[in-house]
Amino acid sequence: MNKNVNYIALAGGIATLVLIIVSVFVPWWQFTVGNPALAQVNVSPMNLNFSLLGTAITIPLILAINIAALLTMLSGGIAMLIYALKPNKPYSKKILGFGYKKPLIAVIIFIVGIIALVTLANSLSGFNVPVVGGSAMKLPANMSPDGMSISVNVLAAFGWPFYFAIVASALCLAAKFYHKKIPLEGTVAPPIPSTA
Amino acid sequence: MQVLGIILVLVSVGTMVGPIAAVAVMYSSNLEGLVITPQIKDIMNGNSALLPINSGSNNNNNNYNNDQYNYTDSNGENSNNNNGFMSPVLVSSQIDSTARTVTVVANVSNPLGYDLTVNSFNSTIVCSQDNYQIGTIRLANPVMLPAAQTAQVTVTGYWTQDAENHVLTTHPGATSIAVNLVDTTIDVNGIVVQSPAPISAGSIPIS
Repeated sequence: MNKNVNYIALAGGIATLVLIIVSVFVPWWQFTVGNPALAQVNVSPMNLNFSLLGTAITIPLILAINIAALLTMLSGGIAMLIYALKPNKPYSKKILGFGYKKPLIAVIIFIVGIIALVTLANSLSGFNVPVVGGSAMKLPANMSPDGMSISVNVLAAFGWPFYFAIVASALCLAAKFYHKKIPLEGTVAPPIPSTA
Repeated sequence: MQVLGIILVLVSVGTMVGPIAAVAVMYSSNLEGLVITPQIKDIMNGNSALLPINSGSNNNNNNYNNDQYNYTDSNGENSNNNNGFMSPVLVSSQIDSTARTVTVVANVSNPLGYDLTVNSFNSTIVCSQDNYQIGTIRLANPVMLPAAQTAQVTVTGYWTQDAENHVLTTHPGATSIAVNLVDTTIDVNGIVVQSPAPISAGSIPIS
């Protein structure tokens, strides 16, 4: 194995770049209203969008935040690749420190965001919005006309890119720990004491 | 090394702040537009093309014509000019006295620009005078209502021998009885509406 390449960081960098591309098209978390769907919320740090009756609704501020997240992840992925190919240079540690945190931060912010979103939706609407799984959200009695009972079938699920993001984060984190085992360029390993 | 540190900080800040600053500048004359798009504004104002609020009336009086146990709407055609939101218009009905079933075909219009699916419909038929349970009615199969089109929906009703006896003893000589639908449940695209209150369903002819 070539000691001049940190293969774990290389895998982490590639995984991060693949994750960016995948996340634009496949959501990390999806919330579906109705069956067949009437409305849908697709959430990933790189693409958060809503659709109502088949029409996508794009909010400019959210789009900007998504682009910011995408560029941040991209810079992290590229940094991991540069580091992976030159892990024993004096500047390598700095580049690694810049790159390895990005997927991890994205995963943490995403989880906190989903929990906050669902908690907020539950407290504001009075519905029981699930984080994972299906349920029938019942409209409060004061919102239902003429004593009617109205409920909406909803389904929430994490998509495979979310789990892939955890794997990418784990690889980047592992690369950080593996870095300690890579000798810095120009340093010489201590000589083995002679027994003769 | 110090230069590299500065570059990395600049990249971090630039990638985060850049897009947000750019969109803020683009919407500087209309900051509300950053969050509330024209589509959302239309929905909030109630004039969205996505959710048209149409108050079209249903002129059908839901009365059955018992000639040969068949019904055709009063225009003699099965076209539907009703624009009411999901309001059914009776097309035809067939009564099978032996099997004690009635099959009703109705036109249901979908004013939305999006396909809808009626997953289920079921209800209990009661006599409107004394609330005696006559039978049940349900959707035969799920029906897709294509966007901005009208589709035919077939519902099947069943009545019991007790219901026949009730009509003969309680309403002797009547040519028709007025009925209500109670405990009605309809499921459209997973939105389930349950109405325990009676809904007038017109009159059923008695031969």
